[in-house]
Amino acid sequence: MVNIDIIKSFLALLFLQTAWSYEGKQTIGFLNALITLKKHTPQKKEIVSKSAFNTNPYCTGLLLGLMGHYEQIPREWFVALQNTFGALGDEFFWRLLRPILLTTTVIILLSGYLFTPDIRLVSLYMYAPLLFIILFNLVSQSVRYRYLFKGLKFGRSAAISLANSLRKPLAKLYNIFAFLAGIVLIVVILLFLSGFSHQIESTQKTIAAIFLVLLLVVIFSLLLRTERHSSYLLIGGLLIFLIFKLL
Amino acid sequence: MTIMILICSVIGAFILLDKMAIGEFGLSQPIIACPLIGLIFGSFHTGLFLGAIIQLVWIGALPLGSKEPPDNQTAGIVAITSFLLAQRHFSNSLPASLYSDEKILFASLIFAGVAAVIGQFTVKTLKKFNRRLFLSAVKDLSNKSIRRANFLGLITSFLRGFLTIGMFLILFYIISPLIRLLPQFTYRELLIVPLLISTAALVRFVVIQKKYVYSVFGILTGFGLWLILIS
Repeated sequence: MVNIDIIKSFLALLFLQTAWSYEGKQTIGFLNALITLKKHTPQKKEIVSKSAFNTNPYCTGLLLGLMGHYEQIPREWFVALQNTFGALGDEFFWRLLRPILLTTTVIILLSGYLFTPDIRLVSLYMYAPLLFIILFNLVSQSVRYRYLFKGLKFGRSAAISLANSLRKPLAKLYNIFAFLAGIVLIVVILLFLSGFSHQIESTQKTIAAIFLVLLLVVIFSLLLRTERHSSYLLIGGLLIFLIFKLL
Repeated sequence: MTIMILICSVIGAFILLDKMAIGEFGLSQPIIACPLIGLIFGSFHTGLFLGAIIQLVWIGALPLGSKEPPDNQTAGIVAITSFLLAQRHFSNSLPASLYSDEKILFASLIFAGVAAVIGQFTVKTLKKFNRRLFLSAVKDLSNKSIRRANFLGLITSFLRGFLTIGMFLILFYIISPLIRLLPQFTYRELLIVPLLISTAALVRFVVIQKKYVYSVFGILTGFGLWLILIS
């Protein structure tokens, strides 16, 4: 397969989740990419359509590559690969890489707000979102493209290689995320103190303000039982804040 | 205003395609989408500010497996577009003493909270609706029907974004006269609630993963950096 065909398959994979449904999940998107391969057969289409295809979108390059590498592919093996790379990919990309990059971007921006009184004066910090978009796509899209190529060329060994590449850095990424959480906490306390500096005159009051922030964080963490609660906490918190302001 | 609502809805719907239809590049994340839309309409810095705080609120919202998290992407786009809409509307119809960017931002943030919940619901509805596309594609598994189903999925995805954003903007336009009744805020005051939510989400992560040592190290590093920067 020449490179132009790989690029066609890669571009088709970008539309993987377009018609996501609870019954078929990513099946239509994957079938749409599968038909760009020269080696697509009715048997392969049948396997995909009956397996309710679903995996991490950035790992689909590998699965498509494997489909192109082998003449026939056992259904059980194909489903096992989906599940493995669904779990590993979600853990690596969704739970760790993306939140880490987003948190870093937000920390840089918040530091800007900490050291400048007016948001319109935040200068260098405004390039922080570029950090996220470049680094995230450099990793995620390159995994999608490289493992499409590797899957087509090397078959099973490419799957082992990707699994190792995703699994090895997980522990380190967890540590980095915890480290960033610590930095966010300190930035929050400093922002809180700087925002109300005119009301804080003594060391005792500063300590009291820090304790207030920590207490509020603990209360919010207890209230934040599911992801949906973030939305309710935002609405409720802002309304309570409004009432305080009006009083 | 009708034209402004239409333009904002179309731009927003195009950006939202990144969420589930094209590529997952991260362009629809609030930290990118808000400054991008702000840049188009000449309010880049406000977009950046809104993007940062909305990103923080839903930092723990993850699309793991088939689970549908709150729609922070729609929330971000609704927040920045409703801010731009109200700002333009007020600058034409009200004296400057009756409104401020901070008051509009406060209202936009509340709207963002509602948009995240409604957005999550509309995504679920869309995924249920897409069942028809799936069944039509797997009926004969022909290349033509697969391509057709995928293309229709793109259209339904765009329409979902367009209608959701459009509905919120119309609603925001209707209730916007109430904004002038709000008290005056500062930018830093607007950060308090979102910051507490994000810190709470991160603290939960640390407690669940039991990575206390690294967090303490992060706190000390943050404090050390601050001391260096202020000296």
